[in-house]
Amino acid sequence: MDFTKLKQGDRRALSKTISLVENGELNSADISNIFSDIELAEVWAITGSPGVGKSCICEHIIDNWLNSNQKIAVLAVDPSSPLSGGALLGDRIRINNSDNSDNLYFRSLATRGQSGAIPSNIIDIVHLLSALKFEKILIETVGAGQAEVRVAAVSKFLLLVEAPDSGDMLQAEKAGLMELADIILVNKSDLERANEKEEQLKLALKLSEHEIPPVLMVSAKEKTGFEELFVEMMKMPQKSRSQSLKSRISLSYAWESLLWKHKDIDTIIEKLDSKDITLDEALNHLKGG
Amino acid sequence: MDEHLRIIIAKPGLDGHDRGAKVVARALRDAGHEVIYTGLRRTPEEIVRTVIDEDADFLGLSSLSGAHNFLIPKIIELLVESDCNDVIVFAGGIIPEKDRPNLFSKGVRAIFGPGTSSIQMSEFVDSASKRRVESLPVGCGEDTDWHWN
Repeated sequence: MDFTKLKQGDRRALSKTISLVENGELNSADISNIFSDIELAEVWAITGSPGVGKSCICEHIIDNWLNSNQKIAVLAVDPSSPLSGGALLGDRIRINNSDNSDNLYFRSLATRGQSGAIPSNIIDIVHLLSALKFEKILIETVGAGQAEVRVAAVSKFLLLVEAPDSGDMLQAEKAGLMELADIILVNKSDLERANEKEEQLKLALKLSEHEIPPVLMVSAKEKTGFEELFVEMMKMPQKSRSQSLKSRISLSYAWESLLWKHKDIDTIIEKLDSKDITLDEALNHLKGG
Repeated sequence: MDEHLRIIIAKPGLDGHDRGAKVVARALRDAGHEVIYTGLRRTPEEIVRTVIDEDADFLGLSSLSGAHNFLIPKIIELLVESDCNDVIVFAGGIIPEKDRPNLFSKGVRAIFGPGTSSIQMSEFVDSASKRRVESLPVGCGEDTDWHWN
């Protein structure tokens, strides 16, 4: 394969190469062979339940980065339908500046049948974008469930978005993501119950043994609170929280990626479906191969 | 061609009606494709940038404003300039019969009006993909008279 155009920074070549990575035809090792020195970009992930306003917050963050003339990439993830395998990737509708700057590369990704909030090849895509000297990468995940902490694995920093009335206090406490978040945002601060939400979150965090992340109130609609967010985001590269926890998740995520890339995975799933083999036998086969 | 076709549904121009575009997007998703919807009122330049970034195989353009004779050829012209000859372009919305031959000659490979069934759309996508697999010309900048309807 010829990667001359890719190395020259050609946009179409980049898109074609990302498709290769998505289809499992190219991985991080191949990318390291094409590019000599790769420095990992500053990767941010934004996550939160559906409807809390992740996309609208993304729009403001993108604007802020574009204003400082940085080369940025956004990976917007949406779920694939488990029935048809198709996907409706709609983040461009809400992120209005997704297509109007040469400094912004915006790519929608489908989860393609893998469980969890991010597709397994996303680490390789981040690797590729880093090689092409993108300074900032923003990953918007599927409204991740409480146990979906893998978003933390590929990102250096994690923004967790909450909104008033998005689940009761107990749900906030049992969400594993809270312990990994570098910044927690309460969006829709123009709504009445937003302060209550902020109080609940802060109280829940106080009970934790870990260092407490900043909890910020924003309103994507009214565009308020973002100056404070940008200041916190600027400070972040100097400090990083919950590192060992993140490493642990990175490892299990990488492990799972290997699983889905295994050459026999489809046959094994078929055999499991038809009960030809037990779960233990399947595991042994996967470990052996 | 890839196992997962990537299809962009775009709304160029000023009309604010996208029920049709959304129904088409949904139908193509249900047929197993990855569909990216751009939202309303995109310029030709924005649509082409989206096609490039998303590595689209197909681009569906929905127009109900009457500006199709200007906007659709303009988009195809920009696609060809950007080395996207191979992208397969189809159109939908309110496009009168008399305007269709010209659009076909500019590289549009199918035009769907009101009353089109999702099965017809899928059949078009399948036949166009088949041409791609067989290395027959089908992209908007490739030389052929072939069109679906």
